[in-house]
Order: sequence, then C-alpha cells, then structure tokens
Amino acid sequence: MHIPDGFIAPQVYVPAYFLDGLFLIYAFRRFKKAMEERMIPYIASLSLFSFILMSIAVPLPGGTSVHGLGIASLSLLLGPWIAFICVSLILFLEAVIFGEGGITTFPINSIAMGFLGSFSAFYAYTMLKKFLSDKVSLFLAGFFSTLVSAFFMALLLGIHPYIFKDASGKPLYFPYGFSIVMPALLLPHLVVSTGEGLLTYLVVRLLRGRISHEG
Amino acid sequence: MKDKILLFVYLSLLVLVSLVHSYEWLLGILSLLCITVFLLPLKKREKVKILKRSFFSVFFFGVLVSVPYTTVGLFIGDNRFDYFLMINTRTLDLTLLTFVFLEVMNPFKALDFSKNLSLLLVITSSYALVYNKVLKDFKDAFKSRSAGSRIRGEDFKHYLTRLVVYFFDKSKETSEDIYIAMKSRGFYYD
Repeated sequence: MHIPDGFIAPQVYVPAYFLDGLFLIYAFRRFKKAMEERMIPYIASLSLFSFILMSIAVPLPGGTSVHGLGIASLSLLLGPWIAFICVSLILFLEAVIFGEGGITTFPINSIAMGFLGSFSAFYAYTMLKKFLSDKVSLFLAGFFSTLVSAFFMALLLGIHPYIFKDASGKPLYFPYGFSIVMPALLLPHLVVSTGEGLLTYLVVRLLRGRISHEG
Repeated sequence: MKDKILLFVYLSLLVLVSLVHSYEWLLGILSLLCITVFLLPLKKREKVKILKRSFFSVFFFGVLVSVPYTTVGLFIGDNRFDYFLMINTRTLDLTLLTFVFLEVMNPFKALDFSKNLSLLLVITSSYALVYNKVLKDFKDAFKSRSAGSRIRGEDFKHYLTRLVVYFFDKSKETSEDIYIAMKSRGFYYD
C-alpha cells in the first residue's frame, strides 16, 4: 500500500502534513495527560509491538500469503488513538530514518492506515458486536479497516488526474482516474483485508485476556 | 543547528522538485544528485548501494503505474513517453534526494526541537533493530520446522501464538526497562 514519492502533488501532501500533525499532537497530549512520565516508554514499546504485527505474513488458502498491518488488532486492544500514534511512528521511522515508504506520502499513509484504519476497526467492531458473534465481528473489523484505508488511498490517488494536469490535459502526477484506480486498488486489497481480518481475530482473542487480566 | 538547516533545505527541495514537470529539468536534477552521491565521503560500495536502493524503491510502483499507462497510450495513438520519463525521473530524484540527505544530516538531531519526539525516535529505532533480529530468528525457526513449502493452518496458529505472546511480553518488559533507564538518568527531573 506504500506509495513512493513523486506521485502525489505538494498541494495535497503539504496540507496532509498539517492535518496529520494536528491529529498526532492531539493524540500525544491525550496520552501525556493519562500516562505522564510513562508516556514515552509506553508508546515506544507499543510501537515496537506494532512493528512486529506489521511484519507478520499471514498464509491464505491457495499457497499465497499477505502482510498484515496489525492496526485493527492494536486499535481493538488498546484504543484507536494509541494505535494511530504507534502506526504513524513506525511509518515515520521507516520514511525518515530508514528511507523507505516515501517522505511526501508519509502523512497520507499515516492518515489512511493509522487514523482511518484504527478508527474504522474500532467503530466497526463496536457496531457489529451488537448483531454478530465476537469471532465474526473481530474478523470483519480487521477486514473493513484495511478496506477503508485502501478506499481512502484510491480516492486520493484517483482525484489527481482531474485536478493536476497540463494545458493539453496530460496528468502531472498519478495518471489514473477513479474508474481504474478503484478496482485496481480495492480488488487486491480484498485479499489483504482477509489476511488482516484473520490476524485481528487471532491476535485480539489471544491477547485480550492478558490485557484485561493485567489491567 | 547544522542539521536543522539541512532539514529545512531538504524539505524545501522536496517541494520544489515535486513542482517540476519538465523531464529535461528532472533529468538535470538527477544528474546533479548522482554527482553528489559520488562526491559524498563514502566507500564506493556504499555509493553504489544508495543508487541501487533508490532505483529499486521506485521500480515496482513505477512499473505498475507508468508502464501500463505508456503502453496503453501506444495502442490508442497517444504518445505518453514524456509522462513516463517525467514521473519516473521525479520519483527517482525525490528518493535519491532523501538518501543523500540521510547521509549528510543526522535526522535525530534535526528533529530535536521536541525533546519527547527526538527521544521517542531514538529509543524506537534502536530497539526496532533488536526486535527485527529476534523476529528473523522466529521466522527462520518456523521455516526450518515446516515440512515442504505449504504451511498448515494449525502450525501457523501455533507459530503466531508464540510470536505474538513473546513480543507482547517483550514490549511490556521494554517499556519498564526504558522507564527505569530514563528515570535513573534524571530525565524526569530536568
């Protein structure tokens, strides 16, 4: 899902940096209030756990495997704001320190995967739990969180050829409109979403007891 | 201060290069960046590594997006080669620019305007390398114990259980270790 630099216009990524920055500052302040001096160790260690969840490849029927994101798991276990901070921190480290993932696309990845991914998982689970079993709700929360992130990415990429084009109508950044980018991005993400749904179900069921038991 | 200035220069160049749409200019910038890479005080092998990493980090997305777009253009009589050159050169420019600046500036120092952010980045990145190594050991152990190329669902479930529980407990221990280390160094009394 990582988009490299160059495909997103500065008119999009500069405001995205401000928006993402505002969300992150708000989230950090919430935690500083709640955790006080334990904030940095807590966020650092959970980000490391998030880094591990992002590295797990989930095997799917047919011999294929997909990389989970672990965002839904973190969001359901610890809350959407902390999941957002942890995922954003890992994405930032990958982009700034390790030079992977794109600097200009960092805020878009952070908003799509970190913010929308964690909040959609959290609210999807809260709503679905009223009608469906816990197992199915967990799977669907993971499934929808990835799909929502992919949809946002597709929306953002797909809008580029309509807005950013030269006098002859040729695209200046991402070239494909909605009719191509939506199916091109969403269909493969159905597989990724299935992997994320399975990962969410397994991880949350495994750790929920430990977290509630230990407070 | 030097690193903060370099960060400012880097961010400004990033936006400027993003706004360039002429492939001639972008190719010129690419040549300058390549020259800069070879002027960096690094070993030849490291310089080649930077160029290779830049190329491969743009290659897959570039192939997926710009190659089909240009090919379709050939069939419908629309010459899209300018676009192909522009988008791939710009992506390469921006990626190479990032790698060049990562060599000349210290990102931790550049971002130390916020003590918490800087500390968070230092701690997380240093532990990430350790976690990554342990994860690799886990993966290797799982691979060596799996018969054949197909992974059974039950085996994967056991592997995932061990992995997740281990790293969850490890991250709790890490949190406590970091807290004690920070406290003992007087971090909370500044």
